[in-house]
Parts: sequence; C-alpha cells; structure tokens
Amino acid sequence: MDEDDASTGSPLRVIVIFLLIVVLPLAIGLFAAARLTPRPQIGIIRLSYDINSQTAYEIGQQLRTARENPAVKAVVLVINSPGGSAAYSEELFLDVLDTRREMPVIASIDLLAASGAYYMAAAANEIYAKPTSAVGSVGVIASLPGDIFIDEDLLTTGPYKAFGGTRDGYVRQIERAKLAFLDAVQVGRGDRLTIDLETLSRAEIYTGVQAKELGLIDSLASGEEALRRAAALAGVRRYEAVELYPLTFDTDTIPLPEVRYQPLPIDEARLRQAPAALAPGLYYRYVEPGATR
Amino acid sequence: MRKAALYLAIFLVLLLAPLAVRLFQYYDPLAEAPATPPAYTGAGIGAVPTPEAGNGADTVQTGAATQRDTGAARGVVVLDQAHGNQFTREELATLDGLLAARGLRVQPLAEGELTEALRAATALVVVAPVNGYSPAEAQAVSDLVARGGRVLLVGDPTRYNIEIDEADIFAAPIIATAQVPLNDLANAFDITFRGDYLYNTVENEGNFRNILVGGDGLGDSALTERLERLALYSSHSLQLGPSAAALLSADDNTWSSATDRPGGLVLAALSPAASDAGQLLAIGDVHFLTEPYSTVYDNGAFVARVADFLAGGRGSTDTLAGFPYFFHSPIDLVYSDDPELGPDAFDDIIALQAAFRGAGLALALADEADDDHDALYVGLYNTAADVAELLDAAGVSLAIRPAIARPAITAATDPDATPTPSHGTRLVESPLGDVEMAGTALLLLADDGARRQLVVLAASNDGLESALERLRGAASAEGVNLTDCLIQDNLALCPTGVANEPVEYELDTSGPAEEPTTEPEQPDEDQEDTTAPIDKGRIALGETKTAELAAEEIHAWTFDGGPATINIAVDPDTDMDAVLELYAPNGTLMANLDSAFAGGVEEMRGVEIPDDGQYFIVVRDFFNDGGHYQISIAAGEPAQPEPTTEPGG
Repeated sequence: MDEDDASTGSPLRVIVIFLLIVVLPLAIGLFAAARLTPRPQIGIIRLSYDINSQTAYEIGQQLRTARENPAVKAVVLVINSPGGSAAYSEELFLDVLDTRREMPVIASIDLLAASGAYYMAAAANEIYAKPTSAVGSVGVIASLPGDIFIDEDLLTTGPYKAFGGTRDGYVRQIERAKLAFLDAVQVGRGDRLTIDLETLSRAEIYTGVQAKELGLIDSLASGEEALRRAAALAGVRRYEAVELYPLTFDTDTIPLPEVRYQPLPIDEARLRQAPAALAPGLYYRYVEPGATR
Repeated sequence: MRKAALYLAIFLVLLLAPLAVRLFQYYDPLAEAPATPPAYTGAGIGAVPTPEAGNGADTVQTGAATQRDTGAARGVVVLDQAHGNQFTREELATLDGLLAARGLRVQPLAEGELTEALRAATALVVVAPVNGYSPAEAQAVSDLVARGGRVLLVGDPTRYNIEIDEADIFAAPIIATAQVPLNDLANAFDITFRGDYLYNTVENEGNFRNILVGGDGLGDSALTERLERLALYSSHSLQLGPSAAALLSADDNTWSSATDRPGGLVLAALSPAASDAGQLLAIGDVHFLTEPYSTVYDNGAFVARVADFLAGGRGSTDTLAGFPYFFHSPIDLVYSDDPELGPDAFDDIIALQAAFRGAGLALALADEADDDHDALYVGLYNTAADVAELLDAAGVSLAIRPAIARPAITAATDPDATPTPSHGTRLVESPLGDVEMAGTALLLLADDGARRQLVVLAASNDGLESALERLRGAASAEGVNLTDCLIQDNLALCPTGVANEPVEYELDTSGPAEEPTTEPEQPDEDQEDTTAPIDKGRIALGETKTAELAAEEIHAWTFDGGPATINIAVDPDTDMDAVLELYAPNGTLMANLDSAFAGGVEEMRGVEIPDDGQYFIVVRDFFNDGGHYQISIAAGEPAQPEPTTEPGG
C-alpha cells in the first residue's frame, strides 16, 4: 500500500522530490562551482619608468598577489622601462622566476625594455614586443669611486672602509655584474637566444624586429595577444584581464567609477629622460645618448 | 533501493554539472603545459681575472749620468699645459720620477709660448690638449725633432673638450670627443689620432675598453723590447702614413668605435720610423702612465722605456741656444782678472743668480772655478787671460792690431769731429770670421764632457753689462735669445748695442760710466803706440815717392788734389809689413788696409776723394820695425772701396 502510494505519488510529493533531487543539487552545484572555480584572471602588472626600490616593491607585491590569488592563472608584465638599480632588477628577475613556478608569465614590451627591465623580462616564459620597441642594452653603468684619502678626524679600521674598494676593484665588480646579466639572459632565454654573448655585451639597443631575429624576444605581438598567450599557457579558455595593482594595494576602497584605478598613460619624455645624476652604485640602466656625462 | 540510488546519482550529477560546465568553459584540458622554469644559481657567472702586477723596478740605462749623481738636469722636458691639457701633474707622477731618475728636468709650460720654450728643450710631452696648436708651434715641434729632440704625444678618448655656446648659456654643452687637437702636431709626422676609442668584448683587461696588447701587437723597437703584455685603458686608434711605424697594435677582436669594425688598429706609433735620433712617439692612451694602471702587466716597464725614449733626445741644450739648461748645478761665476767688485757687480750677480734659480740652477760667485763645477766666466777681452785656453781650443783669438795714432794734423774744418781711436784695431778672430771687439760680445760654450764652461767677453763694461742682461733675461724659462747674433753651435758673437764702444782694459764693476769713456792708456807698450805721425808733405795725383820709415815711426802724406778717384799703393821692402790708412780732413779714418804680409803691396783702389781738402795717407809698419817703401797716387776708376773695417762696425 505504501509502496503504491509512493510509486504513484501525490503531486506534492513529486514536487518535493524534484526539488530535492534536481533543483537543490543544481543550486548547490552552481553556487559551489562559482566559488570553487572562479572565472580565471590574467593579471596585468605594469613596470613603468625606472626600476628602484619603490617599483621593485610594487612589482614584487603584485607578483605575490598573483601567486596567492587562485583566480589569477597567468601574469602579463607590461614593460615601459629603461631599467635601473642593478640589485632591484635582479630581484625582479628572481621574483618572476618564482612566479613562473606557479603560473606562466608573459612579458609584453611597449616602448622600451632596456637593461634592467630586459633583465626582468628575461625571466618570463615568453617575451613579446612591437616591431619598433626598444629592447636590449644588456650591460652595466656605474661611476667609479674617487681618489682615496685619509682624514685626520675620521678613523677607519681598513684602508677602504670609507671608500668600499679600489677603482680597479670596482671596475672588476662592474664587469662581474655584466657577466651576471649575460648569465641571467642566457638562463632565461636558453636556446632561443641566437645572438652570441660577446655581441650582446656590446649593450646595444635593438628594435623589436631585430630583437626577434636575435632571440631576445619570442614574437612581435600586441598586448592583447600577450594576454591570450598567457591564457593559453595557463590552459584557460575564457579569462578576465585584471590589473593587479589595485587588487594588491586595494585602491578601490571607494567604489566610484571616477576614482577607480586606471593605469596612467606612459609619458614618453619621462621614460627617456636621463637621470639627473647616478648615485654611486651599479645600474642596469639605459641612458639616452648624450645624457651620460 | 534502486530508486534511491538513482536519485542520489541524479543528485550528484546535477550537483557537479555546474562545476564541470564551468571548468570546461574556462579551462582547456588539452592545453600545452608551460615550460618548466629554469633553475638560476648564478653558477654561470664568469670570473674577471685580476691582472698580474709588473715588475716595478726601474732600470736606468747604465752609464747615463743621472740627477742623483750630479744634481743637474741632463735635458729639459717641456710639459705642455698651455693648451687646455686634460691631466694633472699627479697623474704623471710616475713618469716625472722616471724622468728625474734619468737626469731630465721637467719644465711645465702653463703660460707662454711653446715655440720659445722648445728652444731650450730636449724633449716635449703633450698630453690630451683640447686647444689647437698654431702652425708656428707645429713647426717648432718639427724643428725640435729635426735637431734630435724627442716628442711624446699622448691622446685619450676620455679626455675631451666641452664647448659651451656663449650665445646661449642654457644650451646643452657640446662634447667634442671626436676632435683631437694633437693632430695639429702629429700630422706632420704622418700620424693622425682618430676621434674614436677602441674596445674588445672578447678579451680585455676588466672592461671592454681596456685593451690588451701583446705578442705580435708589440712592434720591433727598443721601446717594446722584452715586453710581453701591456694594457691600455681606453685608447684612440692611430692612422699612419708612410713615414710612421706602428709600435703597439691591437688584436683582431679589437674594434674601433668610429668604424665599428675590428682589426688593423694601432694604439701607438713612432715617426720617423727609421730614425735613431729625433723621433715622435704617439700613444692613444694616457692611463697606462698613471697609477695604478702603470703597475699592470708590463706597463711599468713600458713607462720606463718611454722615459728612456725622452731621455734620448738631443736638443738645444748641447749648444748655446740651450742656455742655461746645458749647465749642471752648481755653477761657479768667475770674474776674469780678479777685479774688485763694486756694488753694481753685486746687483748683477744677484740678478743673475735669481735668473739661474728660476731655471733650477745654483750659481755662486767664486775666485776660481772648481774643477768639478761648471763655470760662467765673465770679463773683458783685455782681461781674458784666464780663459785663453778655452778660446784657443775653440779657434778664437783676440788680435790687437798695431796702434794707429791720429794724425797730428787734425781737421781745422770740423773741430767737433769724433776722435778716432788712438789704439789699434782689436779683433775677435773666430771660425765665424773676424769682427771688432768694440760693439761685440763673445759667448763661448766649452764642453769637455765633464763640465761645461761658458765664457762671456765684451770690449767694455757697458758691453759686458749688455751681454749679461741678455743672459739674465733669457735664463727665466725660454733659453737665451741669440736671434740677433752670429752663432754657430757653441760660439756666438752678439752686438752689445753700446754706441762707440771703447775697448776697455779694466773691469769696472762699480757701475757703468755715465759719460762716454775715454780710451785709457794702453798698458802694453808692445801693442800700443801713440807716436805722432811724421808729416811727409804733399803727394799729388800721378806722383810716386819713396821714404824710409824708421822703427816706431809713422808717416803721414797729405793729398789735396781732389775731387778725384784715386788708387793709393804702397810697395814696401820685403822686411816691412805695410799698413795703409786714409784719413779725412777732419781726422776721421776713411779706410785702412793691411791685406798683405811683409813685402806685399798694399793698394787702395777707386778711393773717392770728394773735395780739395787735405786728406792724410798714413803709412806704418805692422811690426813697428820700419823699412823702405814707395808710395804712389794714380788715377783710379770708381769702384767699391777696398775692404775696410770701420771702427765700431
């Protein structure tokens, strides 16, 4: 009797069963799927102007955000930079390598990726540029220390405590930094690099077309193509391109359209402006001709 | 039960379907996997070798006198600092020391004319000038090399000119790296400094612009003998003509920034290539001369060779033109004939000492020159016995002609006429010719290898003062000015500029006379004869007369047959060496002649007698022994006067 009731069932019962067996799992599935598989994001990180402590920190934090955010499946580095401090450039190189262990990183060069900026780009899975982008300047620039002296009232415990070292020793440090740069490029680009290291050490700036021929970049492509390539490498069919800067530094606390984060357009004059003076230290930086003296 | 299982299955399928759809929607399970990131360890960073330090011991050429030995400079190296030269003396301290060890004195030229400074130089060093050189300066450098001097031209691509647009002070400065003013000097020697720098990215000394030179890159020269490897720290390349030869050449991996092509690049060159004497050495880099780069590899030895090269220069310091730099301190100043020195003499000595000090030389007054010292002898011709040997050795003799007294018959027509000298004609007979002592100063440099002695003689105290003033002014930096002198190597005859200069007999060091000096009495009676001539009467045109000249006697014949052109001939006996003189009516010596030895005819031809005044023809014997002679006056053809020596001329 009970089984008959159940088999024939009342309409109410049928509705309940339908809700429990069909609607409920679908609702839960849809809800859970949205939570468990968020829409993949391709994070955009912009390196603009000089590499220094500020930019290195900001880029590093954004790369960390990308690594820690499960929605971010790949990163595209949009580069407009002449490079900068050697150590910060190397830090970015290592940060990118770290990120690559978790997701693909694509470098997309707009106007300029010179010296330390290229150093960082060399760690990416792939590098894209425009045909006339400026790429290269693989080398070091530094000012030699002045003559050493001793002061009556300033006592040091070693002859170079107040100077760091000899001029000649500094020359060799600079040369060693150049070799480190070349090694990083060699590691990052691997077999794709067709230019020999001696020629690369001439520190020339190449156009995107030349850079492609020399194996310094992988392809001539737009920023959109870089995003698509990043997504493809990440195995993502559909994605959302997101700026990682506001995501990292929470710039959208006031959710008004007019105050939302917008990447500033690149100021070419500022980009190519020579530094007023290079503080003592090693730099992977490209300086426009005529601005080195 | 089966129904429950079915329900559960449906439940699960529907539960997971959104997730599957979403995954399929967003992700491509067939996508290629990204490449594994490379491992970066830094192990591939190559080493930068530190170069070996060279042997810093300097080896001065054996046997070469050095400043350590004598305290004296054996040559003068002019260091140009007058053309905006981009270096500091501290940078050249190594080279300075090496030059000093070779007895060379470095004379910086910050102001003044290079042409003047080079007159006293044995070598010239020019480092990285940014201002050009005039044609006269270039010629002076060529002249220095031509007379055996050495020239070192050092360029450097890191030492360039920065030009400011004075019309627009806010405009960016123009950096003139491609301009190499050294070429103003180098081009005459078939060498051109290119406005480039060299680089080598394959094998270098710590940096691409630090060029290593070794093996075949070291030319065959004493400068590179036994050297194995040099490092030049940024260098121009040199373009060479046929007379220049490469000294240092870069390998095939070295490139020029100007052409961006490798190979065939020269960093240093010699010109003329075949010369063993004067040469010019051009080098494209200055850093190898400076510390610490001068200690790398064989750079130190090479810098020493460069110093040797500069020490090998010969120049004007071997000759009078190199005054005072041919002297070696200390120098004894000796007044000939040991006069009593007055206050003015002390002033002169002090001024002279100051001038020598300015040239880095010590001058001290002495009664006699020390055998180990160089010497400056100062005196009058008549008190030159102390230096007779030096004069003889140089072929210089001080000849005093027999005295000629003024005719007793003085001109009544011109009482103010300048009195003619009452003494004989005093000559300096030298390889340069014979000149009268009056108005002439003699400078003689005697160099026996061990010491150098300069003799300065003049006819009068005023003349001597003039000669010393010439030396004082010249000792400052540039060397003695002998441009108005008759000069040959170590002998110069210079005008004193003293009008009607007498030949004095006593060194008067109390100061120059304010009035024209009166000729003092000749102390040597053998040399001076003031005997009044004996009037032998008139002699007319066409006449021939004979006379007997007694010992110590002078004959005066009167001719008043002018105006006319006449020939005067005196034909003496074989024992008599006739001297013939013609005086104007006012007593002025018009001409004199002693062209023949004893027995020879003395003849003045074509003598113009302008009027009918009384002209005096004086006949005497050179040896004052007298003799028989015949005098004749004949009509002559106008002609150039016979060779005469005018007083004071």
